[in-house]
Amino acid sequence: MRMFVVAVVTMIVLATAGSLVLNAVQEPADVAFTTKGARPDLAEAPG
Amino acid sequence: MFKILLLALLLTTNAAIAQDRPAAPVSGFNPTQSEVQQKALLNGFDKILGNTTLPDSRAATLIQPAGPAWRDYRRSWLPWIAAAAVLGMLALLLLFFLVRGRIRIEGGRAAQTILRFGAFERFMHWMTATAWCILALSGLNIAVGRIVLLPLVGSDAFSTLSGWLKISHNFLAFPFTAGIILMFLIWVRHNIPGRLDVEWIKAGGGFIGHAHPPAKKFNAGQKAIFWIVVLGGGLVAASGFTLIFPFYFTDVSGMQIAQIAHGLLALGMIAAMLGHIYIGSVGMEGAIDAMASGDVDLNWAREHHSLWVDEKIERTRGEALKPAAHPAE
Repeated sequence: MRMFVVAVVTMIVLATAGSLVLNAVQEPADVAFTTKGARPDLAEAPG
Repeated sequence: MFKILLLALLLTTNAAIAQDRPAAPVSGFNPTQSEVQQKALLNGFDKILGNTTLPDSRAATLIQPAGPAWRDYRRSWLPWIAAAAVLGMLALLLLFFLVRGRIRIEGGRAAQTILRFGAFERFMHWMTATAWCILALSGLNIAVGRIVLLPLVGSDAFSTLSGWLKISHNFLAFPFTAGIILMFLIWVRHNIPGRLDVEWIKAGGGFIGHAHPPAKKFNAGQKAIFWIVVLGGGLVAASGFTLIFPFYFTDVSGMQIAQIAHGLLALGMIAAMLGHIYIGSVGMEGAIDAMASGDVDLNWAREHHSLWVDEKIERTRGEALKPAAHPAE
């Protein structure tokens, strides 16, 4: 049981590390597939 | 009258502009030409390109003729293949259970146990297995979730669940791959096929009848599972990373092939792992102990891995043996 818990915790740590790698390497779709002029600036959106 | 004249002027001007700017040839074809047959266009080219000012030049692909064939496979064939793999295997296991029943320890429980898998072996097994279970369920949701789950839970719950499953599918690829590499490194020397495996297969592995052919640490059935996991899992991981990193390794056509291979290999693995889970739990008395505590019943070990037991006792001078936690039957 203890090894199972250790395995699950390690799995989560590795998955988190994987998510960081993916976030660092990949671009969001709105950046990859549009020009800057076509991107809505949500910060300036009214209300 | 003035409006009619204005309209005529606009139409004339637009027609002139259109004539001044002939449609750009696309992949050698001019799509405005009446003689262009769509079928010839689709059959003649890998992709039909246009022009784009988007940052990603791949967005200029207007039509990829192989896409509809892939989509047809994805929507029509894949769910049936998934159903055959999962339900077919479950039906086979149920049939096997009804015919053969639970494989008992012939000599009953012994008064001693023997260490079969150490802590690190159990750790890498459970890390890989847990990641694989979530990957399999999330992958099945990608393949057949809209058919099976959506009508049961509704669109809102299905959308939320699928979002989380998709994220877990991508990220758990990393511990799954790490587990496969570890398994290969730690267990490969015990999984080289040999003459004993032929004898084991000839004897039905103890599944057919009650003979227990001699085996070392892993018998032929376990070796088959090992290579299915290492080779199948390795290919599933490689094709999966091709999809996680789109366009890094191949183009759209390559990714479609990778997706087809990924799905088929994964479904084959799911079927094989269902058999592995069955034999490792309800199908065989005493088998679960190997990956639970690591210590297996000595009689179980002698029946299924007699050569390994002899070698282990000799090598450790009997120190691998422990008194059983429960009284012997």
